Amino acid sequence: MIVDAHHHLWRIDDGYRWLDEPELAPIRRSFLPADLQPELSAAGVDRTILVEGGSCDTAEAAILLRYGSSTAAIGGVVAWADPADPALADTIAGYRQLPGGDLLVGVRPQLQGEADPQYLDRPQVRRGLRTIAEAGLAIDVVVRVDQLAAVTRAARAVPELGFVLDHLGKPRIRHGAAGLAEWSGPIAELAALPNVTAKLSGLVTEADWKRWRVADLRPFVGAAVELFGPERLMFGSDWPVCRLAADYGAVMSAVAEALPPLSAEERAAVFGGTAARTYRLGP
Amino acid sequence: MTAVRLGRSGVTVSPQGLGCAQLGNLYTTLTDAEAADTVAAAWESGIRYFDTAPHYGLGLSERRLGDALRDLPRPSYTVSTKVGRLLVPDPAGAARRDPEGFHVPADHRRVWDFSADGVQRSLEASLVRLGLDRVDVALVHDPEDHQTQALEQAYPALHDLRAQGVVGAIGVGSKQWQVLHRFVTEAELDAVMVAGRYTLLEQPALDTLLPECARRGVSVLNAGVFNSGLLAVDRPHAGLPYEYHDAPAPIVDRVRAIAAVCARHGTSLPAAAIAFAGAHPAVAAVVVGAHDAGQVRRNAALQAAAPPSADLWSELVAEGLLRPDAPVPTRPAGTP
Repeated sequence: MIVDAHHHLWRIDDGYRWLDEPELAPIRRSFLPADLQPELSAAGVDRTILVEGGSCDTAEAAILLRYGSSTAAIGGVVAWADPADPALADTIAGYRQLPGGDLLVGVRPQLQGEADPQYLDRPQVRRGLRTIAEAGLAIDVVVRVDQLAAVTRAARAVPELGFVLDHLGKPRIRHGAAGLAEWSGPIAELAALPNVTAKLSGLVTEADWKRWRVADLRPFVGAAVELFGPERLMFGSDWPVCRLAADYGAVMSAVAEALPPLSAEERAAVFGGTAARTYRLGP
Repeated sequence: MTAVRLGRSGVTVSPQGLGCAQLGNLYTTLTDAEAADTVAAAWESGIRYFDTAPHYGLGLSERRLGDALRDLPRPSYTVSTKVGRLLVPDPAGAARRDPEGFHVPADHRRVWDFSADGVQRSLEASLVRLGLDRVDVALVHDPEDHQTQALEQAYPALHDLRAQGVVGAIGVGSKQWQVLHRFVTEAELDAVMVAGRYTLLEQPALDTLLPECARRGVSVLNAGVFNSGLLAVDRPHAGLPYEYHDAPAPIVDRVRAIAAVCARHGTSLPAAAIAFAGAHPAVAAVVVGAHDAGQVRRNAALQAAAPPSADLWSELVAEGLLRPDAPVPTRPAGTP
């Protein structure tokens, strides 16, 4: 089973303000299940994890879960929630009552927008992380490289919670060796914790959109395989955001080519097994 | 803090400005050292925009601001002051306190003057008090009762001063959005300073003023965002000022209800008030006053922090505590 562990869908009028940035014009439109299906068929992907798209609004969850219940390929939904919300347990319980609520597999706040480097250290946020674990969900973390140390502290403090690092922690691939250097230390610290997995997703978006080559990704993908191992890595297309730099098929081939030599089992883990285990996908 | 340009001028402001009425002993007496500490704290917090006026403490605010800025690099900061009230010496009043809320001796009288000559003289006197050779922004101050003269005489005078490069940007400041709207439509301004009319408590400027500013490229300097202090505390109570007087009970109740929603969402009333005030796309800077360095640091930190979550705003709207058409802040984020 081939799993795409990370993609999005959005309706353009639902408050995705981050899309207002001028350079994001190519993806400033709605992307709906009908747009997704042909991409999956062409690439041979069986199941997907649909991830919140940055509107930071609980109303989005109902829409994503409904897409999940009406689209066979969507195997799980990672919905937005605020870990600092004192009523987080109720919010999660509310999501599960919605049509498609049984597809909820994880929660993702927009941590990359938090300016406070100690945000994840706040007692209120730590309580929220434990609440997510108690609900049997994973947390997806989308962070900047300078936030990786805070994720490590949080993952160490809440070992019962499965942390999924999106986009390998957004290393600045377009900065080449300098991007690799600033990322290597913090990612190694984080990867040392057994409750952390990571996604080989969003990498082309962190590279030069116009001029990237597979060789640009290889040092980062190679380091990730060394640190996490295939059993804790999962491929994600990050479609349609990836379209800024590459289409669905190109981004999947790029990850496959950037990987070091792996056994068939190891490849199967990266392209499906790890995601199925982490998000507890059914057969 | 990233600087934002005012209208089409070359003048920039930091996203938060320091409102300097307090440096003129508004409500309470500050020592010169406390005033200097307040400005220094603003500088250390990244604030590079300072707003003052002759009205504030009969010139005391301008003198203290100038003293505090003297050793700082001039190109790095922006100062706005205002025209419309000339300060005329009144030695007979020195034994009395200023009747307009500032704890200073009434040794000057304020004389309304929106003539071209009045504008010239007002700015010259401001430069002397500030100890600067130029101000960056000149604002027509409170022209409510003198609109015709202000439009026909003060505005053309400022327009000329801007053309000559004497001031970088011009505008109008008022508590009445209707007055600002008239000036925005009838003059060519770089900025308006709206005081207390676009806050988390009330948003009358949202109907026509802010959309008109956005359409014309006029920058909004949003001042009075705590409604004189009522929104500046986590738990508002009776006795706090609103519109420079004690807040009436229905207003206090409404603010308390807003504060309760803020607390439920893990944030605070002042944090939400500052974040909201800066969220409208026409707003270039939020101008916040402070009585001491601690307040300055807090207010700067509130603006620098990520804004409250989207759920806060939707709940305020659902409870009828916020207009549904008001733009709310979104968290800065990269691609998801």
